[in-house]
Amino acid sequence: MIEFLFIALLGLLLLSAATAPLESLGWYAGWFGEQQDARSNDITVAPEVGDRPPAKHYIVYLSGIGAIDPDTIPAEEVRFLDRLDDRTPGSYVIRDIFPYSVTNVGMTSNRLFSRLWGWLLNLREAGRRLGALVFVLNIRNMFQVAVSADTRYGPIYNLGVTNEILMALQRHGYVLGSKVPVTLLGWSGGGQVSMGTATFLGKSIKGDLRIITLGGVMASEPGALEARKIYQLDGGKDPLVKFGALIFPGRWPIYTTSYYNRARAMGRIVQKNIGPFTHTGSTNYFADTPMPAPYTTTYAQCALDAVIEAITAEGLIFEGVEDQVGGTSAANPAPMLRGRQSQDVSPMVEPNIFDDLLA
Amino acid sequence: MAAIVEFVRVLWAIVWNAMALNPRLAQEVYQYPDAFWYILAVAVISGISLLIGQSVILFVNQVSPQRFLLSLLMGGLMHAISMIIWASVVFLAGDLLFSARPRFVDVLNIVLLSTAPFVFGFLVLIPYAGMFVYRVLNVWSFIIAVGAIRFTFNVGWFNALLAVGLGWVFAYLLTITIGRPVIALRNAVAQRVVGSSLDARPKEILNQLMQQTNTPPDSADSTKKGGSKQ
Repeated sequence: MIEFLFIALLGLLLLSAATAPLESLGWYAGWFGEQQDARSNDITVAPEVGDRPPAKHYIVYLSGIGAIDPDTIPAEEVRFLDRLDDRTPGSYVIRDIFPYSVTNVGMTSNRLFSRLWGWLLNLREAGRRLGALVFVLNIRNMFQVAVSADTRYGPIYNLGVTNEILMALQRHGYVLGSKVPVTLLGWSGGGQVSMGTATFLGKSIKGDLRIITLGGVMASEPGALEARKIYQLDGGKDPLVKFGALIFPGRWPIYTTSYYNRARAMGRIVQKNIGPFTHTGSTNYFADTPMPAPYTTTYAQCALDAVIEAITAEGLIFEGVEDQVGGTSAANPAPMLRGRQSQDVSPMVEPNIFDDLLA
Repeated sequence: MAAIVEFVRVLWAIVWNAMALNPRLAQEVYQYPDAFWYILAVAVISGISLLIGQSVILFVNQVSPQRFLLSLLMGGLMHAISMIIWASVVFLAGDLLFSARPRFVDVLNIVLLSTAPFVFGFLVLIPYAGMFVYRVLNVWSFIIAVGAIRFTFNVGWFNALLAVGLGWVFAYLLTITIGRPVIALRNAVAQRVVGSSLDARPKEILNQLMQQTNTPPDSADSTKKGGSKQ
């Protein structure tokens, strides 16, 4: 019986893996899915956009494989993004993108099993055991990360998500061609989607594109050469980050001509170990639990400080710099320095060899 | 209904037996009264499954669902035809190299049965790992053919490998030399059935899309479909 169950589960897993690319392929072939062009003029701008000054910088958040739909990301990530929003004056944080669908359609809306997922989600929120089955969605999203990294499907998948990002940017007041800088903030599998979509996004927005990955699992993508700078913020105890570097040959140092290694050789990739983070559990990047000595902060705060430091290094904090980003002054050392006392404290700011070229 | 279930059961047993590298495979299949249909079914299903695995090319060329199904059937048949060509070459190579003189139909059946691993060809669709799966299935199929030829011609591993390998190389040489008109004919049939020349490749599309995203927005463009307009 157990043997039969095991074979059935394996079969189901293989079948769901094999069908994973069909959504994006079918979308591209015009079989299904809404196909609105991000460059069309009928994108409705969100009402609140008119009430605030135009943003000087947009941060697009691409969640990890735990995301379920554009408006449902885990609560700890919401807290993290709220704090990020507070600490990045002049920037606007966009968080209503579901990076695991080319049509931005979440798992609980307008899909074959959307009712089932919605029901399971409710059970999970109510703390019922059966709700744990929602983890199946994580597997589904993990396969979408693989679709994004696959050279056969990746261009199509990444094009679709790029289209969604461009529409979301415009919904939040971005004007295409305005050259306002955009930063993709990708957590976990969102790191791969960031790199994949950068292939097209950089050319579409015409402004500077930067990528910050947090525990990012990603392949070598052409997008690595499209981004002005890529900050890879990794946890020292995060096995998935190491797994990503191992499973994608384009990231192996011996492939010196891969997109990733070329970007690295050009000085565009800044890789930092930001602390003893794990990928999941109470010591993940969004956990509000205190870090062990010599750290004097929480995991979430430390990760946020590292993100802020990267944004600061790029000169993308626009108002109240002293108050908001006090970490850069001598009296109030850089957040990463404040968080750690006896660790590697090499500054994240590096000379950008493209400054001269882009000037 | 019972007949269909029985057919599927026997078919599955044959596929399993082939994948277990049973050298007496062909002889055991002959024990079934409808052996020919079973063998043909293995070859056609393998062809269809493999084409599903490689269907990205159909999607990339924006083939309609109806044409997609037609092209799967055509792919199954073409797979069977290419196996017949391969079997012919293996038969000729064996005839020249070895003293044993098996019937052509025996060699053909071995080659058709050796496609059994491609029943799982749809797994080539698996993102990222798919191409690895494809290579594994190819090697598996090759090993089945070598093992069965070894048994049928009563020769050693090296000679069996030589016959199958020669067959493969010769079939490849045929496709790039005098086989060109045949391939042109096949492509013409594909064009007619699929409605596309199937000449778009994901890499080329990536390059094309990257160039297109560099162009300024054009409102006249916005009526096209999302995937193709960018």
